[in-house]
Amino acid sequence: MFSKILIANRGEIAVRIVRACRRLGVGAVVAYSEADRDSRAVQLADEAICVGPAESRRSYLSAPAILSAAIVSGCEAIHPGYGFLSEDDTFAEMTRAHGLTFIGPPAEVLERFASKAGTRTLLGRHGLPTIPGSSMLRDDGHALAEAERIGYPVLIKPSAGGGGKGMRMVRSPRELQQAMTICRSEALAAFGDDSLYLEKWLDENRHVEVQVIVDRYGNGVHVGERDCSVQRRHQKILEEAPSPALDDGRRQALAEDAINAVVAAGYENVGTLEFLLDRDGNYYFIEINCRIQVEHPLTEMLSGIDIVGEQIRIAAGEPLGYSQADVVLRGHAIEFRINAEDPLHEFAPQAGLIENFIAPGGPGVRLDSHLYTGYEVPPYYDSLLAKLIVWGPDRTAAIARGRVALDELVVDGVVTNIALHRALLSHQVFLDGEFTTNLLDRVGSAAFLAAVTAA
Amino acid sequence: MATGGARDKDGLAGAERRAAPPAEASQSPATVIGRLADEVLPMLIARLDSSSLGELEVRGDGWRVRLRRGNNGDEAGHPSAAVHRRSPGQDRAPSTERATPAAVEHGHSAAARPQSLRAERGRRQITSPAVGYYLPRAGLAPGTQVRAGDVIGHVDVLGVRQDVVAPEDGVLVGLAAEAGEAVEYGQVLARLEPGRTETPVDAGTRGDGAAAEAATPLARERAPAGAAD
Repeated sequence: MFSKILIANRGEIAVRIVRACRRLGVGAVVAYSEADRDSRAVQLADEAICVGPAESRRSYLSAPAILSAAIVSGCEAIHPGYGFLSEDDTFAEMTRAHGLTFIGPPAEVLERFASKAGTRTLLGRHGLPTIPGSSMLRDDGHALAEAERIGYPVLIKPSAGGGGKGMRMVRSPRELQQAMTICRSEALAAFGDDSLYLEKWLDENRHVEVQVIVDRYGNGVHVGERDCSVQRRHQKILEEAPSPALDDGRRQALAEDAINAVVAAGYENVGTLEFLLDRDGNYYFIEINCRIQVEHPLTEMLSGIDIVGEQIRIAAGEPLGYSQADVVLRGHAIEFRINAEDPLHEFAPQAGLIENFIAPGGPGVRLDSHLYTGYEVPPYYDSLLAKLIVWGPDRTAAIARGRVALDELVVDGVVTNIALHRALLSHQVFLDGEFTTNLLDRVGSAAFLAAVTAA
Repeated sequence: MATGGARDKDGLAGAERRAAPPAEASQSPATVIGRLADEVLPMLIARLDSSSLGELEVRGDGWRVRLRRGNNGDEAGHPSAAVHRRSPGQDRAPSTERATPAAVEHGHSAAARPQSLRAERGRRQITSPAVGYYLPRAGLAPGTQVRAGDVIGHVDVLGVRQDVVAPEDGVLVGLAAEAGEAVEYGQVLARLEPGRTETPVDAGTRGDGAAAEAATPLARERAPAGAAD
């Protein structure tokens, strides 16, 4: 085990990693930017070291600054958290080159899973159902034939890039022909490459993901799935586990498919496989996240496994030490992402002084946060203030605890989305467990809030 | 070592007589006793500087200090005019589909930026441009005269040296870090009594006086245009 590690992140996840270090008896050094000098993680750390100015590119995203901080503070390993450098295979390689351990998959594993298309092909070969799609489109005739085979609606995607550019959803051959020209020119402008392919479009889909833990010696377990269908603009705001959309048979098949495929493909450390789930319960693999995820506490509540602790243990070369039969998942958990953003005004991010902060409590209630009364939320980073996680023996009990905990939670000084979470817990579609990823955007969050509060 | 200590050093004013508060905050220090000016103010200024707060007020036994940020803006708000170069280690695996956030700020002008901004705000501290090992220029001592843009040492970041640059003309009155010491970003390395003395510096105290003089125009050229002046 390491004696001291550098935490190259901020906010609630930096606090979470400090806690894992405490439990394992590992010294925690927090790397921080000038804007985070007064952060909770800095206060809790054994040591803290300023790596750069507020601007992430010169602090949390600066590989030389982070590596230099690890070296001068005598750390043996670097925990990157999520975001920032967490999935950067070049950074992982640089870390190794400087004689330090990257807490996450080794560089070559990150590299193997870096390309979304490549990962789909790789894991498809190892038995994961992937979203139906075409090969590279040669011409319009080829596109029409492929779309017919896949079945409308289809999504036209540029093979060179991401971020929504050159991407169009079409519902008919006519729309397809019209959109092809636009997509080609957009893709060419954005990526210098106009090659396109088609992917099946799922109108009413759910987002379900499987947590896996794999050690260096090829021992792996899954720790069940999480449902992240409550989203706005492809960003998760509430997650729960297990997924209300899966029966036990499909649940088990999904998780087993996932762990078998990643172990066979040589994955290492903790990771999450994301799937789209259609109305008929068919699941399609879309991507793998080679890092800790924001919503990992759901799985911790169900399994009792300290997933951040497992990351550190596995990176230190320790064997998993348990098997699938030892992983027992109990009850139901819901996570509310408490963000400094205004749901009534396009989710505009907020910054400012936290005038009062009071955490909820009671059985089955967990709050992961870096907030304290008097803390100044800086404007430079993401808007996540806290994660409220509630557990109950079943979904109904978890929802009831969620209501109580949301009512107890006090965050004064900045506008938050707490009201939106309360509204979600009163929304019939959510109560029925039928939320789909497009629901909030389709209804509009302001209308959604108004409808629920009026009712 | 460098970690918790760096913040403590901000609190100990050392040899400096009195920290110059930002122009906008100069009303209250007139009523403040010497200890406050020497010890509390520099720490508060550093605090305000590193936070996103616009104003900071602290009360003690019978005194109250309020600091307000000047209009110079924040470093993070500045457009990034810094030169970005890739380090040799990063040339190996440029992924086309992902951005390379690891683009390095090893450029000299990038290194000089925070210091220059501090100068604009009337700071009299020379701070570290990066986290790494501090290597002061040979012969540096209290009393050494420096000119704006002079390189007074380096911070070694993974073997790449970043210049530590004097933000303005003046005389070094305190050295806050030693050769080989691990320093963090923004850590005070030396203190400066601003102003140019007319008497030429004794070459003996400078050690490498002639070389440093020769280096000055070059060092000036490296600083972002207008910032150091």
